[in-house]
Amino acid sequence: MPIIIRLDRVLADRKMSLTELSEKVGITMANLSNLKTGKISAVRLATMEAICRHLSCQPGDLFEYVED
Amino acid sequence: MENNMTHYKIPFLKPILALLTTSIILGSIALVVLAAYLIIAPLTSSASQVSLPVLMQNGLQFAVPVHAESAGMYSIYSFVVVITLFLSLLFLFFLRKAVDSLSKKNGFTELLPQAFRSMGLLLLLATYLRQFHLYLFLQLAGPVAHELLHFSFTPITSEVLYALALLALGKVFSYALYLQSEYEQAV
Repeated sequence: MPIIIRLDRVLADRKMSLTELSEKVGITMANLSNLKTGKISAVRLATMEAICRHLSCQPGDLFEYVED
Repeated sequence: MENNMTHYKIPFLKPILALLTTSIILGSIALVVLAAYLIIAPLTSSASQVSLPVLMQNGLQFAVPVHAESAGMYSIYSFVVVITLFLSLLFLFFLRKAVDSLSKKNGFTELLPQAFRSMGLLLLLATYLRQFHLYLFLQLAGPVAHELLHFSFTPITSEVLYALALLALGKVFSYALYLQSEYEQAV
């Protein structure tokens, strides 16, 4: 898929673990892991809002479009 | 933001499941006994008198003479009766599978639309086979039965409408399954 999820990079910048984000945002580790690895078809705006709030980032920081 | 769908437990599914299981077991035994009867009866009955079962709601039976020249017709009749009842049993089997799937709290499964589609097709087939069986019965039974029963081919019966409703329900469940997978793949 040409959309690359940069959650791991943002997490590394903020020195935050996936478990920590999971607890703060209230999303299960399984779902967050699926989001990180791109095994999802959609992200809810509410999820985006919670992640961006806790990571102090913009939605654009989490996603990148790369042409095939 | 929990991603799991809320699945509501539907009451009374367990007793329905038990009832369907019992019906399938008893129906299977009855079908085997009937098939054995249809094979043995003409060979053992005296004066070529065979009591033929008719698939009606009140379970009518008629004593009709079976002559040597109608043996072919009798064979077809027996085959149609057994197949019709077998299809009805299969219908119950798929109904049980659908109820079982609903009783488990894991939402819609692939099985549900398939079961409804199969049930619709089976009901459609069984309805026309039942009409064909009544036609064959009247051919076998002769004028005695004509006074009691009348046959006219009806293309659209209430069962056909039920079958079409089941097929439509299969489509609805298929779409529900698609929506569920979309929901589950969203975070």
